[in-house]
Amino acid sequence: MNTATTTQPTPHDAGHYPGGLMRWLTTTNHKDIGTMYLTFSLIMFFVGGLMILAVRAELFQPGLQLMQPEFFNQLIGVHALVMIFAALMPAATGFANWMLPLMIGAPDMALPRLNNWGFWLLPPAAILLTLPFTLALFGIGDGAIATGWTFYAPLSVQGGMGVDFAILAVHILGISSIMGSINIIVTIFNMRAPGMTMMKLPLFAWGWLITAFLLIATLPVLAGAVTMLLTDRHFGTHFFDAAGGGDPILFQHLFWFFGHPEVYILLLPVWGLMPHVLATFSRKPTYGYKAQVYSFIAIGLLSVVVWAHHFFTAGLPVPALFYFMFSTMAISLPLAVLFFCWIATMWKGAMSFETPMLFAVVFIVLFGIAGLTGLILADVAADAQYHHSYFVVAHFHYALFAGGIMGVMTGVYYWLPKWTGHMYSEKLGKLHFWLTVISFNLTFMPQFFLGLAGMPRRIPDYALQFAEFNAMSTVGAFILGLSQLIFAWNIWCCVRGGPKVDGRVWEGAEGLEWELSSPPPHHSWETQPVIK
Amino acid sequence: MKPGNFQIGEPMPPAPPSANAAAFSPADLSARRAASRRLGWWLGAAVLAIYLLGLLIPR
Ligand code: HEM
Ligand SMILES: [Cu+2]
Repeated sequence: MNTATTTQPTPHDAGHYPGGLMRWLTTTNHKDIGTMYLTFSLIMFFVGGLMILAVRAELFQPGLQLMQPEFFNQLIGVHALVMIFAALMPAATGFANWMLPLMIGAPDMALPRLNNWGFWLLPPAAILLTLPFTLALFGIGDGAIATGWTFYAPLSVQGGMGVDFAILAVHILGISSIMGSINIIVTIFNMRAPGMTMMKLPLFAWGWLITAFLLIATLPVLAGAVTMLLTDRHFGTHFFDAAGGGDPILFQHLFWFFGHPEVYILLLPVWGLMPHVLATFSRKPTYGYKAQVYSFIAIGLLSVVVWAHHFFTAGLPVPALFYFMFSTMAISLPLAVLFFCWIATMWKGAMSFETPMLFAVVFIVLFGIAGLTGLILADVAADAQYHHSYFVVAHFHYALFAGGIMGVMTGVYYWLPKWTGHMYSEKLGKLHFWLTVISFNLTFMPQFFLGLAGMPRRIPDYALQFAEFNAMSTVGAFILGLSQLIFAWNIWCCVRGGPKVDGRVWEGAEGLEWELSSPPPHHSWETQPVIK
Repeated sequence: MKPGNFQIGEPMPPAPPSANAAAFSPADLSARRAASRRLGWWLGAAVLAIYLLGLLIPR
């Protein structure tokens, strides 16, 4: 295998970069910023995980054991906001920062200072989200937002101070994501090496490009909705207050106009990453490049016209029910194209199963379960039974944990040697993989049955007949949580040292990013590669 | 070298980029950055416009 790497001259490296904390505060380097995003994401993943382990502990048995219902609700809502906005989205942005310049042959992101800003908005927002818990300990306020992550009115209009904190945090998180998206779009449009036409763009870049446009189109709507919530709460408007002539359902429309595309925002970067991993470890070119690009675009377009499937039961007119049912189901067509391409990429390949490949293959299966149960939920008649049940909770965890977080794990194992110059421990990686997959299914599979049997979501107590499945789920969740310590430990050790890798890292890896040394030089492409 | 996995039907660059690379000239780079800033402001303006659409909703 060709292992030619380019150790490029780095004349600017001659020591005028600040060290220590100042390096991280002031950095405009896409690799440093990528590292900060990924580190932040990992920390917040554990924060959100600890919150939900407390929830699972409460749900281990029927009855109230550990906490008051109010606190239970706060934990669920902040868990979700943290996982979505502070764990999964920053991980994808970290990937983009690290890999896009390497993949498209650019020296850095197009707007490096904007990039620094985008990251440093995140920690204050995370503090705002979690601060109300601490304040409540000192008798200030009544804790964090207790509406779930969906902020539904009128509950959110009446709720305590925690809602205001969350509204402010969401604004800041939104601005950060907008900055990141703008940077990614202009980088992909303007910084490609000569010869890298749009139809030669790596699929990871395509996935992120669509993601960035979705963020730009929908985040302002979320920001608008929560601003309106804020004015309803404090400035005498009645957007969502029926008593004042407003409409609570309007909030659901605005929220889910953002919320459904958000699902694809979380998943498109992963769908972009998967073909790279599958092709590398099948030692074959990606199957159906163009089909995947067009599917990304189709999914992006469809994702903004299906939002009302999240509130079929709210009393929509029948024609609207039909429209949103069929448009939702239509998304499964381009999605099926992606599944087909993933499988066809592996077909008759010379496959090997290193940790990233294991995660990628299992991703196809588990994310398939998410997609199929989504189709069930999209059926208006069936959804009347399943809505707001544990079936939904199981569905979106197959989508967001198996499809999102495990996709991020795929990327981390795939790229970590590139970032650090060291190989991680395959043994620990495989252990982490098996423990994660088994305990994930132990946690969330029972929730499908709980939902079918009628257990509602967002309740701290439940009827006796649900006890066994809940106990299973809690045991699974604790194993799942503990297994992630192996992941963190493996990353830590790999950053500190380990067997050296060459630029290409994986035998079957193809693409510009593998032509650079591992780790790549400070300025990624000092000289411009030419794509033939 | 085998065909690249990110570009269908076309082979990867045959040699390491350093072998056939042209330097990113400072002028080229600053032109690209300027184009990026312009597009960036337009995208930002689009975001603001969508946000302000909310003002049209009766309160
Ligand atoms: C150890 C892993 C996890 C466990 C055990 C877990 C468990 C739970 C539980 C028990 C709920 C509350 C369900 C209810 O009663 O409504 C919940 C809600 C939720 N979780 Fe997770 N979760 C995990 C990871 C994640 C991840 C990685 C994400 C997203 C990337 C996520 C997203 C959500 C969302 C969106 C909700 C809905 C919150 C709401 O109702 O507002 N979870 N989770
Ligand atoms: Cu949806």
